[in-house]
Amino acid sequence: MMARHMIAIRSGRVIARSVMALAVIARSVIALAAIALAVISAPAGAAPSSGDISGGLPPVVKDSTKAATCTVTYLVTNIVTNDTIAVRMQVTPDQNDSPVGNLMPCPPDIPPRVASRALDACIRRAGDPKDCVFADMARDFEKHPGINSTAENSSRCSSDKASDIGIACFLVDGLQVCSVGCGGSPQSAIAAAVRRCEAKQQQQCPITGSQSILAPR
Amino acid sequence: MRPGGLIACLTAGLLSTLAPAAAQTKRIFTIPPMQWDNQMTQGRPALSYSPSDLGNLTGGITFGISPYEVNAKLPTPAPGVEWGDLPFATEYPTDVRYFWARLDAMRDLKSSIKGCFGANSYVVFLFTNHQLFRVSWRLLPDGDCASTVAAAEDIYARYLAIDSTVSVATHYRAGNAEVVEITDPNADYLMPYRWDNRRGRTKR
Repeated sequence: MMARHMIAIRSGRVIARSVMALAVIARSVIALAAIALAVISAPAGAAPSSGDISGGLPPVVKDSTKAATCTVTYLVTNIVTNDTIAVRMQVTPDQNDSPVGNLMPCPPDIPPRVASRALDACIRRAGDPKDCVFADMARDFEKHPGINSTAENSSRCSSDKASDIGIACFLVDGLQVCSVGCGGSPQSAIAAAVRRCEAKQQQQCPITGSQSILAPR
Repeated sequence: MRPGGLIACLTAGLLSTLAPAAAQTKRIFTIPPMQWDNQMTQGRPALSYSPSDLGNLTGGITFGISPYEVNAKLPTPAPGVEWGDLPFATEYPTDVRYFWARLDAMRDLKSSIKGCFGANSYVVFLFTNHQLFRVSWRLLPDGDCASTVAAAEDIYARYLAIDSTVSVATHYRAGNAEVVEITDPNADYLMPYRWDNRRGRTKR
């Protein structure tokens, strides 16, 4: 009798333990299911977006100190409309190139085909290809207007030497006769162009303008 | 002439030579940059553009759409714009047709203009094979606007910002009119043909 009673008590304990263990497992399963359900059904907006990440973009993207690509900017002009276009030519750096003052170096020599492509930017938009010239013009350009009275190499500035390209012109019979200058600011680029224009043309050159050599990032 | 008079004349002449000419700002237009390889053997556009970039500037008008579609995108569409009813643009050697609308009735097509333009200025839409290939702004001066050059430059600058692989912007003069056009580069055989108004094209 006693033995039978002891067995019954032990059996009861075992059952009670089993019931408790099952309850713990059930609670865990419910909790896990609730978490899974919460994750699945959470609105997309609640997930962290790129904007929520503290610190912003990864450093490799955010790197504002990346050296500026070499850019050679030409000024070309349509002598019928007097429209001047800045044509920016960016040059892929060589593997061995290293920046100087946050600027990649430019090739010392620029092939003529680059100048030709710059002139094409005007020609494609002009009524007559002969209307297009480089913006740095020779003395007496107004008497012999044409591409042969302009200088390709004086109509460009490189980003490793200057930040701005300037132009200075005077008006003769509706035609703007111009010179080009490079500088470290818009003012100094214009001043360089004015000096060149007035020295070469022996005229005041009051029509002036400038553009940055680098394209806006 | 007395010596005093001669000196006065010479002084006046010298001063007129040295007097500072009126300073004037010259606008320099920009176009999208080109990217060259390190040896500068080949260049290509540095940025890629699509027709939707043009559509963003024109209020959805892109090359290749029909006269009906162009008309429907205007702020005040004209009734009955159908291919068969459109007049011929006789300056072209092939079957090119057009319709026009007043510039002051435009919305996106005049949104960049800061300079004045005459009340009779208008925009022409030109089609070949039922498809738009050119939009032409014709700016005519009048009593309230003696020169439309600044307005033409405003339009020209806006469309030069699109690479010429998507749209080719041109600016020229026809008589006293300033003309700015954007042309589909795929219709380059029609590129050289331009409007020449009856008052004759002038050089400057």
